[in-house]
Amino acid sequence: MVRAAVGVVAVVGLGAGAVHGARSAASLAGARSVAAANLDDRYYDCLTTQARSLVPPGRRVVISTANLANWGTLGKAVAGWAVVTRHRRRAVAVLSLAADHGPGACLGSVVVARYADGAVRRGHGASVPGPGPPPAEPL
Amino acid sequence: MSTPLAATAATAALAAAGLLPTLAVVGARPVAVLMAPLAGAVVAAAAGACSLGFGGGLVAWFCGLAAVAAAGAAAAVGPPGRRRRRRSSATPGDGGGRPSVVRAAGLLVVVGAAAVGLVALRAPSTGFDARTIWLLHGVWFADGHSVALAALRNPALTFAHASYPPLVGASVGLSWLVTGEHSYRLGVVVIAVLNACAVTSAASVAIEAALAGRPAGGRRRLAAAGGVVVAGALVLAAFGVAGPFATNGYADLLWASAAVGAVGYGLVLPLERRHVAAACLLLAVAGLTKDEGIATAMAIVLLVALRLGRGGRCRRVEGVTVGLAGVAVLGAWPVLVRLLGAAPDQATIGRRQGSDLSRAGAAVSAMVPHLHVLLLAAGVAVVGALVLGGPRRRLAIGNDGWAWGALGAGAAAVVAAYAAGGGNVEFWLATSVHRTTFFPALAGWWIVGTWAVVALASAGADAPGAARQRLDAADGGVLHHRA
Repeated sequence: MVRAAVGVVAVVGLGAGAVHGARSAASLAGARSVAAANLDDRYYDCLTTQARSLVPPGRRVVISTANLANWGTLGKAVAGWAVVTRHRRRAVAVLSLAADHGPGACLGSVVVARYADGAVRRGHGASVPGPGPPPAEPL
Repeated sequence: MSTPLAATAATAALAAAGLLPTLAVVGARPVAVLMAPLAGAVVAAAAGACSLGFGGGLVAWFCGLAAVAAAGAAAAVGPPGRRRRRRSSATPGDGGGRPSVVRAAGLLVVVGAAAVGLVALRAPSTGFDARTIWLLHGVWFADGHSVALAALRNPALTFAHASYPPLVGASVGLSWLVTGEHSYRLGVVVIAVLNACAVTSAASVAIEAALAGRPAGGRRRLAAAGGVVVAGALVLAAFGVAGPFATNGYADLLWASAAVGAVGYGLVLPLERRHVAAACLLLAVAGLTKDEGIATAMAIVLLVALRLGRGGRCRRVEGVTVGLAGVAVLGAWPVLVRLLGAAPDQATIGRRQGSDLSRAGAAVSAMVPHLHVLLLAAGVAVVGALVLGGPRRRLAIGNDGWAWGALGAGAAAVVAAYAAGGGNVEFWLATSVHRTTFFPALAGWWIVGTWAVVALASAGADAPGAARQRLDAADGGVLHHRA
């Protein structure tokens, strides 16, 4: 009897875990998750396009650490195709994110480059209208 | 090429490289289908390490190492005549008859359960760590030696953990190079497929546990069906534990489920050579995926060695050999990246706060809400040990203490990392503790699943001869030699 009870408790517990897993997966596949993921992708594609309009691939850049969240965001958009460095003198530009809710922005942000000669340029070539940033990702 | 097609091609490439070594390890069983891509990912990791250390392209190293692995596997298995003799000398039911039907049914069930979990891929989510760590590593490995080495040494890339083990980055990079489809989406899908392969491989332990004993007649069918159902439930439970991190490009589920599978094959199932070999393969996956995986895999290796060594002097030598070899192999990557001058890894940001003790306490407090399953596991384990201990021993399934030992070691490693690490521990915990508890949580589920299988198998009378034969293999007994 007790043996059967152990089996029943274990199987029922596993069943509950399995149902939770199936529901979790179904929820993650829902329309809201799909829309959030698509928006997130468009946001990072937008930032990447803007950054590439400012710096050619393979060149050295500094990502501004003035705003830690922006540093992380820009790092994700840039580190795959540019060489990130801490040394401003070796970099062609310092990249940062600036708030901008006008046209040409990526969910309320634009990529800005400050070059060694003092010139400042805004990124272009892509935009995602709307307020930002996109929904926070789970960590 | 569409992403599903490219992901299929990439998985096929990994599986092709891993198939012969997997068949040599586990034999011609359905679980080989699940483990082959993982073995291929290990080959890709070795290729990534060689490319990083010695130069040359990832694909060239991958093809070369895959050929070497295939030749080694063929040599280990021997010529066709020898294979036939080995198969005919295997224990009854091994690879033929009903056990093979149960294993095939189990394969269908766990793959179906994994497909339910992978439905979440409909949302093209690319997680934070996927962008900052795993896909970046894929870019570096795909770009070759000089780029990967520069990234490893670059102190500005601390957020990318460039010194993490190479399995995921090399597999992703390889998938891009093989298919020509250089998209982050493909990388995320490949990582999710590897996650699913590791989870299903670990779940196959429940099927093997159900087949370990041989209850008579209809009860045997009950045990086998129970093992299959438990395996499917474990797969879904694992996707529940991981939540969004199973399908958004994170690799925590990969190492954690591989480590749990290694616990199952190395510490739970009867001590047979193919089980120990399967455990070694899964430990390689865990140790080549993430730093926590290295620490946990080392602990599991030592426990497997200890279990092996409990059967006389000869077995002690074997246990010591396995332990030393395992630690040496798992420690190779950290040594390599230090030799190559890797920039210091920065786990978190900010100044270190609190004493070791206070940080350990904070870590334990943060981990508890993610480990409720351990209450169920502990309750089932205590009562199960009292009323099902005999049937468990007769089924030749290892003492539950081994699995709890591995669980404790893995959890202790995580707590120690939080206690001894730098930065603001509260921030670090808030951004990682869900994922760093995957291993103990999954181990808890697998402990529950094992007791469920034992309860179902014990519902009938054991065949005395088979049970005695299996008892010899339990906990340090005879290590069976099988193909």
